[in-house]
Amino acid sequence: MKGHTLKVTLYPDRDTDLLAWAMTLEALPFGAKSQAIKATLLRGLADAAPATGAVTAVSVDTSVILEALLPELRRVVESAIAAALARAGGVLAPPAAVGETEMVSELLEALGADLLLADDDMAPQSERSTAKGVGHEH
Amino acid sequence: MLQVIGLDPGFGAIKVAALALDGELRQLSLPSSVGVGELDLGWLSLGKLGRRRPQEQPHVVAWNTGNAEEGSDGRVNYLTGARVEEYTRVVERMDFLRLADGPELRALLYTALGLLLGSGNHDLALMLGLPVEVMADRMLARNIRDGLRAWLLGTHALNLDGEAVTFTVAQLEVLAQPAGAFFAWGLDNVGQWARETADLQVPVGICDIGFNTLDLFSVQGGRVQGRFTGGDTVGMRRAAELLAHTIKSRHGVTLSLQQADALLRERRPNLATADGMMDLSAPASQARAAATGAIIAFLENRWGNGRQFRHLLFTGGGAEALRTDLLRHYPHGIILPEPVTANALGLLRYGRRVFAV
Repeated sequence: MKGHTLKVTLYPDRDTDLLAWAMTLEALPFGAKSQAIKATLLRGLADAAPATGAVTAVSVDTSVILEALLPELRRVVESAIAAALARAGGVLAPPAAVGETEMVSELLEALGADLLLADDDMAPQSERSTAKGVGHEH
Repeated sequence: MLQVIGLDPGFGAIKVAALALDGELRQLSLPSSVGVGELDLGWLSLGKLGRRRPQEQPHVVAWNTGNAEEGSDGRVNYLTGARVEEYTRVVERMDFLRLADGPELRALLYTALGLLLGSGNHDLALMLGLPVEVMADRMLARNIRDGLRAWLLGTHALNLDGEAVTFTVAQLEVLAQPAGAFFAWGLDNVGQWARETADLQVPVGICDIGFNTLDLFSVQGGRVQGRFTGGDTVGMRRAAELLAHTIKSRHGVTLSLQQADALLRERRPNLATADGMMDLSAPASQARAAATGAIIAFLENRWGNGRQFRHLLFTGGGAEALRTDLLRHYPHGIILPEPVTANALGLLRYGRRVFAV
């Protein structure tokens, strides 16, 4: 079967709910939007015809959707927490000490040493890594 | 409180990102068009011929240089952003030292920050991205960073579109621009790693296609991978130059590079000339193909088929314009969401980590 592209126009005056739902899809990372739309359509089909069993044969890899959504969900939750803290205390929440493993912190710290231009000019470690890091290869 | 700004000054546009006090993410891209001039054209003013909406006009930014010889009481006025070429001659500087200082950079940066922050007083820490080609030249990178610190650190008072804006820059650091894309992909808004730990250990390639530069950048296990990192001036500018040259020779119309670049991004580019309305689809397509060829050749020379990367990320305005060709050559690659401002977003996220805000 050939692929098929659906094009649907939503109107502000009669598709308010669908428009609100469509807006939430805009925050999804690349590639996750189509998966989310397909999953919603399939749920709708299953609800409309539960007895036929016709749609149960179609499957969507929800783990793919979840994997794509998790970082964005985390960002949304953290933004909401930051906003709540800001409202409560008038400040933005500082980066929390929890949530990152020691290994992640070490890797990011090492990367920072490679990336940031040192203030003390000819810092040996930074010099080595930058020269190696961004040098041209011919 | 100190507010971190991700700042990606490109030759085509200056991009900025910040988190508002309520946690809302704000980002914008301002065309890097700047010139000395006025919006008021007297009796020829557009106000007499048909009022134009404010968002279609250039921004007017003014500040006091403290030097009375430069103008009325030392006050200077610049037009910035879209449609500047309709009011005055656009300054087009492509040298890298343009990134360090100069009234054009100051006008663009003041406009971008003023639009992002709004009126009032602001305390800022800037994480600024520079092209890989600049970062590879240690002396040049240091000169640019120190030049920026020399005039940017401190308090600035300006007037943007009639509103008073004041900000104080307390800290400034520089980073390779495509590193911003990596952090936009990997960090969350508070600067914490938001992906699997393994994604920091595996090889990740980032290709940043800007207006003037093409930057390749690779990270693995907390280190920059020099073998797959480099930069060259093979961005979308070549396509813009080719299109501008074609239009000049065929129709006798001189376009700025920014105007030519804007035409390249249109689906059906048209231009009014003395010969009538010209359909530029064919020359625009030809110019895009020439730029694509140069960019893909550079990529293949440095990266081969790119299969050595677990993740292959494309960013920059050129990535959006060349999306189809890039994904045909590198089917396992992804174009980052909002690729134009992705670097600025990542610089902001990493800045929150570095400045501990």
